[in-house]
Amino acid sequence: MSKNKGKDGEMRVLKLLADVAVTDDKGEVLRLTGTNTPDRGGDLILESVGQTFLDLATTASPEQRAVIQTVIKPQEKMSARIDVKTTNSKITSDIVDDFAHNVKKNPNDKGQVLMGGKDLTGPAKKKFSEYQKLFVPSGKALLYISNEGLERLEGRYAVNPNLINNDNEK
Amino acid sequence: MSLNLSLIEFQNSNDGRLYEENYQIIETADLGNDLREDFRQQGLLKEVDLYEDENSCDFTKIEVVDDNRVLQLLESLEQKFRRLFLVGRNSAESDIVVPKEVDAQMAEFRKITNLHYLVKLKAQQFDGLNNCILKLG
Repeated sequence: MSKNKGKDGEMRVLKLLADVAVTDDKGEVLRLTGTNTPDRGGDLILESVGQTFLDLATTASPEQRAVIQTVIKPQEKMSARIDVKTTNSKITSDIVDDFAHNVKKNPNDKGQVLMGGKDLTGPAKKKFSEYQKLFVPSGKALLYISNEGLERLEGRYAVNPNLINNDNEK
Repeated sequence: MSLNLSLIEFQNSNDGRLYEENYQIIETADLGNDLREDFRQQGLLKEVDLYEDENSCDFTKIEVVDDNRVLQLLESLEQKFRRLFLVGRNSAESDIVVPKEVDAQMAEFRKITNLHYLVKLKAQQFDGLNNCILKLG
């Protein structure tokens, strides 16, 4: 672990997304430069297909899949902005407001993911759900993934590096 | 990781607690984890409880700028701002225009000035108002 917990958290998610990309064989992961993106609320971008995004939602937070399904088609190519919050506390409403505000600053990303925290607080959960519905007409799928959801994803997508090495030797 | 500093006014309550259900974000600026660590080491930050609503005992610990250290934070930002101009002043490289570096320097400049504006706003317009806080998140 480095002294920079924020960076460590981002790297953890980067590793997960790399495993997702290897597993589904369709994804690419982009880490945005530090100079102009944090104030747009974007840390990482996952380029993949709709099915991957739906699978992430199903594993991390099945209760959100229904609303996401209304805007995401399984076969379509899409990108998702991932905003990582490295904290063990709950995510509060003002952070959700800021995340939603940044959706418009990232118009090319159909998926918009807020990741991290123990959970959303009660008011933040209500607010996030409202934003999810609000952005449906503009074709944006908002997804919240807690630290617990992140762990579930890590369990689901963990890639054995030996398998990759064996493939390379062929 | 995106990390902001926000000037937020929470609803005034008689019991002195902060409640999440009624608030207004006055201004937000990008902070980043490196600056947070720096401010933590200088003892400028503290934790306070944010309650979900008046009928609930549920609360979350949030990290905020200590109201008594706002001026110190302002000074720290001003020092960082001055340092931006010192770097490369005596270097031949400073005459070479490298677009990528200019972009990074401008981003750093904007980050410091945005934060300075935000903290100054708190110091000048909301000094001593305990329900108006500089919150990290």
